[in-house]
Amino acid sequence: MNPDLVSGNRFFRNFMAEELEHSTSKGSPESSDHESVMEATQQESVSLDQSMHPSQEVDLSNYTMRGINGATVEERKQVGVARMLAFAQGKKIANAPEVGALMQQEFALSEIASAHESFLKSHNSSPALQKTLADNPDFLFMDPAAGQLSAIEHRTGNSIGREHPDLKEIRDKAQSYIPSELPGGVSKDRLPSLGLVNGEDMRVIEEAAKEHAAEEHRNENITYELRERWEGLKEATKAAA
Amino acid sequence: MESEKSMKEHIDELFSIEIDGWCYGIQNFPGEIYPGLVHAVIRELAPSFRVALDHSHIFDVIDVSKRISRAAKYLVHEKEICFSILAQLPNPSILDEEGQYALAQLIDQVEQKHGGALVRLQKKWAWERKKEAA
Repeated sequence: MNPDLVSGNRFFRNFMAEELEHSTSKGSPESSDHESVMEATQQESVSLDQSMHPSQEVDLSNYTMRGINGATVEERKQVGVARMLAFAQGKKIANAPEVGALMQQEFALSEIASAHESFLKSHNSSPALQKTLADNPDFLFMDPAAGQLSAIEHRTGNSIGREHPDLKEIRDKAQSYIPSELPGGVSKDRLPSLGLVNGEDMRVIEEAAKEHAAEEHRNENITYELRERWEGLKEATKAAA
Repeated sequence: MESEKSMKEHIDELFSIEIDGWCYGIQNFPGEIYPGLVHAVIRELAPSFRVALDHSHIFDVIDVSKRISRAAKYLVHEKEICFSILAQLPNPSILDEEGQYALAQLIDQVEQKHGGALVRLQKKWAWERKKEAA
């Protein structure tokens, strides 16, 4: 049997088992796994908090990383929290080259997001901010060292709507590249990512534009809240030192 | 109906042409490409990924990622693109059994190549379910 198929079958069984487990436990507020992750994160936040010192540099070499793929969930959470705290306290981060790669190249590090969420909760941030963090998976790209929410938006394209001129230009070029006669006599307007001419697609675009406008408005509020929060934390750290 | 049948029969070629088109668009973008723009293109491709799934077309996620990364002059790492593509795939709870099987095979490619794909997606789905329930 094709090894890919065997692998796919094994994966599928595990996957279906997971889904079945979910469907039978539907209604429970949170999975025990999630609870344990959050609990562990909170405990680590405390220990990391205590380890912070007043120098202007945080050395992360203690957080042994075994490369992107080898890092454990616990290590990722520790690094995520440490970076968040270091950033909040206006410190530089040293000896963590793998961490940079981890934060920039890995997508959907929900364990780090959990750590961020925990951090924000522990610092009494607003419910709106917490909700946005939980609602927006793109925040999982969050790189505290970048220092600005706009950097996150820049990386994930969060602020790019479907009618953004740059995206439109790429789409126009893509459309110009695609021949008008496609296999099976399919019209290029039927290609899902390019078929933008019929009424249904226009409705989708309009909805996306509305959502984008709402998202932009929300992001503006978050940026303000985050910056205000960081400034407050930096001031508090200075005062404590 | 006829068009739908043609689409199903030629989905692999059509999907490939569509990806080629977007890669051409990225390559020939006159301005400076930036990561957000690459991710925005991947988001644009979400309906195509969905159609591929609906027609049980198991496209090569790794190859698509490589092509997009190359088109963007490797500004965004192939691995990041792989995960970004996975993030566009629908929640399995809204797919039928065939769709779920196709989805599993797409995820498995990334799992085999980079690891961690399934764990992250399961957490994402759990999050989405939690959000739906709230």
